[in-house]
Amino acid sequence: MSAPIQNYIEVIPPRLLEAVRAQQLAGARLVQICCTRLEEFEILYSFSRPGFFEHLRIRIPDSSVAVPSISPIYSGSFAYENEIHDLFGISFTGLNIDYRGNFFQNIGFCADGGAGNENRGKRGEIKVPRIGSLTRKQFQGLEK
Amino acid sequence: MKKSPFKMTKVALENLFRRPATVPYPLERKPMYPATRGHIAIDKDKCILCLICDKRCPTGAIKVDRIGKTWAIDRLSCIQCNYCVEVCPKKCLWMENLYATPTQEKLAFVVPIPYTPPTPKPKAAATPPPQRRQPPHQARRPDNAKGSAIRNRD
Amino acid sequence: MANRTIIPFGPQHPVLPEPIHIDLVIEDEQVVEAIPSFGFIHRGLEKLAEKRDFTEFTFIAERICGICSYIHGMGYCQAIEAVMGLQIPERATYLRTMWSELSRIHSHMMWMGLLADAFGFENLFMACWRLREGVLDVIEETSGGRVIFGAAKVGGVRRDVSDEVLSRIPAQLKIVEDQLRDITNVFRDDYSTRQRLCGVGTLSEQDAYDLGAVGPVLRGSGAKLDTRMEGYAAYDKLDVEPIVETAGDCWARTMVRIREVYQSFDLLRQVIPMIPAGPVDMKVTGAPKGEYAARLEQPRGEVIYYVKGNGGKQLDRFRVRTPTFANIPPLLKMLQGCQLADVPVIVLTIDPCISCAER
Repeated sequence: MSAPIQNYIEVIPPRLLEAVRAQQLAGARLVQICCTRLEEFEILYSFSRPGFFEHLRIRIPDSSVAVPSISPIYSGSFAYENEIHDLFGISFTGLNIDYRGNFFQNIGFCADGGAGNENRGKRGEIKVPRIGSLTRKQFQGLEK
Repeated sequence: MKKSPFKMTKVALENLFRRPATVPYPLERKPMYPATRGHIAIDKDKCILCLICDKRCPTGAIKVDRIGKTWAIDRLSCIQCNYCVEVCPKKCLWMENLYATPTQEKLAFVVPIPYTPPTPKPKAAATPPPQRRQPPHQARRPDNAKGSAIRNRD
Repeated sequence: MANRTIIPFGPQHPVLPEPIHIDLVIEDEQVVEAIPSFGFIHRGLEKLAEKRDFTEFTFIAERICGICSYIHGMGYCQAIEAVMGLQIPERATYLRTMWSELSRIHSHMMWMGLLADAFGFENLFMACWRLREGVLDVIEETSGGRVIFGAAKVGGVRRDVSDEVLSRIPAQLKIVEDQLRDITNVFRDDYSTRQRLCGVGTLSEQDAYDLGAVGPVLRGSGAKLDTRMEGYAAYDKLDVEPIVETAGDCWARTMVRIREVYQSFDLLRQVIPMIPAGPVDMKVTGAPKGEYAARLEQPRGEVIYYVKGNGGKQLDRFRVRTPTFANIPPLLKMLQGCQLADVPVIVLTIDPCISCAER
């Protein structure tokens, strides 16, 4: 078996979920999500199925643009998306597990100088408050 | 496949009667392999202070001073990657297979280099001396000295 | 409804060699939810690739992890070579294969020891690590380092191994392999190991695939996926068959790793006589321009190196997705519904390498 051919497919952000769903129907598994900071942000979603190794690429002009999360389709994607949020400051809408900037706990490392944390309050899509995002006081309150 | 509580007995009993797997370190030492990357050594007579090892060292452990004529290495920063040995044009560096001796202080290991740069022969009489060209590495001296002292890699 | 309590697990915990923090929400003794958080040892290595010369970064790539060090360096070099369109000498591909199998053996043997330690079997832990020394000796004799091989290089390998040393390796490994049988028998058949591992932390094949599990976690659940089948380096000339267990519990993952050790011994016996004569490296000129994602099989699973070069000496982006990072979502699934006392064992069976995952 030889190495599969790699395809890089450009997708516009509104059609991302559609393209990802097509990958899921084809039986692919999510391999990684990678963000690259150039003049704009590139987010690369890699999918693998036997014989294919495909990358969907979306481009967004800056980190203020929210990207739809693919976690409703691939529930394991929350780790990558929270990581991108913490390191690049890009917000994702519709995450199944949203750490609100606390996945990588060293918030000082935030690429945008902590702007991602200010977004925490603004994002209305959070479904369940997670323990990872609680303050110490709230955490102690839960234990009582 | 049988579950048994005595599967470990053989290993445990062997352990009991075997010689220790470790060596009593300062009294007895494990033999080193010829390929072991221990520490960098230098043949000071061959070195020509070319600065290549200084520039290429990925951790900046090697410092070469052209004015003071020294070659220095910080043994604790060195990662034994062998890169300096590969790039040395005079092959005066090599990798010893003994580990560097432990130290309590972070001191650079400094080697004075006896190398004297050859002065080019003055051209046969005729030309007047005032504009005599210096050998290239002497001419570059101030820059290089500064570069190696406060070199900011990033 | 029973009382819910939150128990913090880590970052300092007796079974964890590395810091990861997991908030365990428990009801009585049962874990209902686990929420991990990361970042205690984030070192910014991906960012560092944008500041360093791409050939020099090989040294840093090798140090992403202390255990699977060689495959990290090799994967980085493989990605750069693919971008630059280099065809490396054949001897180098075989030596790379040999070293990556050696590093798989030593990593799995270390992990077996750590697992034994996690369920309190100290004697077994010591026995595993004593045997691992035999493999480390082979590694030291061939590459010069014990765990950091320092042998990866863009365009080949950094040092050649003499035929005399190569011819000695199979005999040295045979001694280790024979002694290892006693120890793996303990893992397979001993009453206490079976009590601690069987039926704990079960992950179904569908869940493992959907959540993106890789490596022994995926194969322990029954999926037949091994990146070595793609035939990078010299694997296309070898007979690699993925090792699969179907139970999906901790014991299945342990068995996958144990059988993989024997498979690696077997692959080494195949590959060492096949190593051809010739040069081991080539001169690399120019700089990478373009992008490529290299996939390799690490001891812990599939690893991705994504490289994007702009034609300059510094890369635009270097991304490594390590197997531990991909195994975090499946870990959370496994932890749901387990007993609190089993948490350390379950966390250990994904072979967590947190420094890798945080880079």
